[in-house]
Amino acid sequence: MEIVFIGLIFLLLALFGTPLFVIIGAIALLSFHSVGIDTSAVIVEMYRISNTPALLAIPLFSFTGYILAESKTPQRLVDLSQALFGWIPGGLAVVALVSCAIFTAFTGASGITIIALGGLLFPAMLQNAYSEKFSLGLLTSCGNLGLLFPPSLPIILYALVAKININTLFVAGFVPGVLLLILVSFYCFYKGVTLSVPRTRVTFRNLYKAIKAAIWEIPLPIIVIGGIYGGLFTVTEAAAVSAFYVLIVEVFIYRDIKLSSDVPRIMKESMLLVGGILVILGTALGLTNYLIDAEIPMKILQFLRSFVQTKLVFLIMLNLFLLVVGCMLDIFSAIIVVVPLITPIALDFGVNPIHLGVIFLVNLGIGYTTPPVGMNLFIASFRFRKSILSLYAASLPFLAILLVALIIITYIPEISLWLVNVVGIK
Amino acid sequence: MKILRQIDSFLARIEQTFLIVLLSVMILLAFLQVVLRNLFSTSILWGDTFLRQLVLWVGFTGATLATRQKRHINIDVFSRLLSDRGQTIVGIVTNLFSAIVCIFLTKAAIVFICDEKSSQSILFANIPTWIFILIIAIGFGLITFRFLTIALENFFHLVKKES
Amino acid sequence: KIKFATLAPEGSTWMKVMKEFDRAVRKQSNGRLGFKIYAGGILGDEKDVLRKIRLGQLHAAGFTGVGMGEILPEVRILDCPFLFRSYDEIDYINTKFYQRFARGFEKKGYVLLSWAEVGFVYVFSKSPIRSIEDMRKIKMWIWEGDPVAEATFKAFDLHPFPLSVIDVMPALQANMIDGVYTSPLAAIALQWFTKVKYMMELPLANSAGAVLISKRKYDQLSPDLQKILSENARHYMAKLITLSRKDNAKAIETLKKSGINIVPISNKETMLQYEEIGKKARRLLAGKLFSQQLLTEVETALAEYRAKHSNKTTN
Ligand code: NA
Ligand code: NA
Repeated sequence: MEIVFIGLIFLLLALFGTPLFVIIGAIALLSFHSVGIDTSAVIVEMYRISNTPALLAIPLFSFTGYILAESKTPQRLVDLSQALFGWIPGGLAVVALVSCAIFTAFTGASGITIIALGGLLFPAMLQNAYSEKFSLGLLTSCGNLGLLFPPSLPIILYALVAKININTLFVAGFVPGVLLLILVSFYCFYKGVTLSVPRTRVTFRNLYKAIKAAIWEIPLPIIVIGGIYGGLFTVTEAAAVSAFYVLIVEVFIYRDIKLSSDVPRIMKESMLLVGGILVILGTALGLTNYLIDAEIPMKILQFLRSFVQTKLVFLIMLNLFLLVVGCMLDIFSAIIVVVPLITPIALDFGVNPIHLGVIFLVNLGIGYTTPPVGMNLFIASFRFRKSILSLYAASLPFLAILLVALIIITYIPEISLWLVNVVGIK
Repeated sequence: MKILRQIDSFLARIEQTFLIVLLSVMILLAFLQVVLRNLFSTSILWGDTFLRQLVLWVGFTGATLATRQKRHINIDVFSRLLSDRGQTIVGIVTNLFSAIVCIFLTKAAIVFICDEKSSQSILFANIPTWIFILIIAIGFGLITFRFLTIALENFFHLVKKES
Repeated sequence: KIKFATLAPEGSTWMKVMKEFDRAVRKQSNGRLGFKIYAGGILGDEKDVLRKIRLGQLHAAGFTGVGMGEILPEVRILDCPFLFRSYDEIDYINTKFYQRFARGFEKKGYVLLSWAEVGFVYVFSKSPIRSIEDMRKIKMWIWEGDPVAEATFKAFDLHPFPLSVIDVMPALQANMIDGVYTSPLAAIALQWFTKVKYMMELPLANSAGAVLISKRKYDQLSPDLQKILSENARHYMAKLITLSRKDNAKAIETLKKSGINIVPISNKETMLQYEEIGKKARRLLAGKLFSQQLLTEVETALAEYRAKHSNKTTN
């Protein structure tokens, strides 16, 4: 009774605009207090953030993204992508989609993608006559597709925890990943046509002009993506190089940004974003700590196990369960906590462990953008300065597409296993 | 109220300067590490550990400034439906609630810091870990102050309207 | 109920033995005592676990040297490079110094329930290490903030790259590092072996371990429960050490089969050089982590043991 009452008050406070980190923090504090554990447990968990491997990439990419967004880079890049892909309906949207996916494959965290690329691609898409709603939805939901492509860290971690071969899982994720990309691309084509985004013919002169204008920005994706794929840089190193490179290029070469007046302002703006995310992430980790301590995920699973009889029902329940988990826990905790628990149950029901891995990753990715509490919605709300409700609305069509894809991937295991069998690795 | 506002903007100026210095150090040190590693096959041993601590410092400083600018992420559905007076009252309630929660977070942080201090844990180069955790207590402390200021602002706004 | 944390994942030998341990304790105490086990490092690394033990969220945990050293730095002497040559030597020193370390832990508020063990740690690399010079050319990983490893590589005069455990795999892939050190079992579990070609036959060090419980929790237990807990801890951890030694031996065979070349020490002279480096590293740490006196005691005890057993073959 008491719990319901407190829950309702918190819900009301949240809906009247209390910052989310306050609500999550309050729940975490009360939970620990109620079981007689000192509330400093919340802060212990918050401090664990400083041990996160790719942590440094967050502020560095935020800064890079803000600098690029405030300079004339979006215009130059739109011109370039127009010159290259302007003849395709929805060309820029597909470019945005693919860049977000590739970027997430490296960072392993689609939130960082929104921070790093969102600020650049959002104004570019608006300038290109895409609607605000479509652009927001695309940039918020589609980084997740990259989780399925190598060298995504969640795949590696999943393989380690589930004791399956990393390369097998990389291969298995490829076809489902491409399927997701194709489905969303069709939506982009469709939107490109219905929004009557202007199309242009490819001419050598335009292309030359666009390349010449963006000549200092073209190396950036090559440094970041080529550097990581080529084995030159880790993600954090790529972030450090881009931050430094962009600062030099925009301030001293293009002179779009003034060192004395613009840079401090942009620094501050970008770190407001980092701060806003850090406190939510921190309190959410505090709450996660309680959930694990109280073995809540384990209890939900036991409950599931008690009334699920067939493979089909199991898969449906698994999808629902993982969507909720994807909303609540960060992807790394989710893998460490949930994978050892569901793997034996899934094997009982005859689910292939490789297939299970793919289902798991797709689910968690979608969970990130599922209202009401998907983390990426908050990050995007902060980055684009839009209300969380407008993000719920914007992400819905994409969520629908991704859920359809999820259903296909879940119920047709061959999509995940076909390439594995062709390549012949186990 | 005027004094409070002066303190607030004075603090904000310090925080901004602090933020810019920290971020500049972060960008330069991170880049230096890459150069050292890839061109000179060496690196500063404590560099990455220190950089990750800097992220916390930059983040919490950014979070207090975000509180000041009312930029924290929220789900505001109802308050836009209210009258100006209603919004002001809701502002007092939500900001007071936030301040109370942040007081408890500050307190929890202080307990953790004291415990870490007594454990004599060292992060690197003989610098004790608790020094780095200080920012969590300072950060939540300043955030509490900011929420209180906003709540008071709303309160005075309400009083002025009524009279 | 005792809330227990370990870095060992669900399904590992560690967890299997831990569960047997739990069952035995429950049975003998008629359900009055048991464990709630958090596996796979889900509650954090060893420093996080210690914090949670101090604030009472957790009560006990399996630690490696890194965590033990946070409580009682002098115990890190057991992790020193090129100190032990065989399991017999490790067992001898662990038994001989058990009471001393147990008293040390007790002063800091922990009860040493039993030693555990990660086992011998080897250097794995992309190019063969046949001499000290080869070693110096390696871009060696170092576990962030481990003073013993720092002293070891300082004694080698090589400049290591600090990374967290999760970052090692991508760094190996990116050739940011080309050498790592770990136990054979962990090299397989973490899949690091897929990125290296060679393993040094000479172990770098033995990685110690222990099961500790907070004194606060231990003192709450009635004497008969304390007895059940301590006796079973000793029994099952002894079993665990035996099993993990077997596991590691099996792991080396698996590594060989998957194409890892074992690089032996070519001559007596090189062996002596390594031993010199071990001594140098220990001198660097004496006065910091442990006293010179303790170091002398351990080295003397080992020398006596070796003199007594010199005619016996070591494994
Ligand atoms: Na590199
Ligand atoms: Na670490």
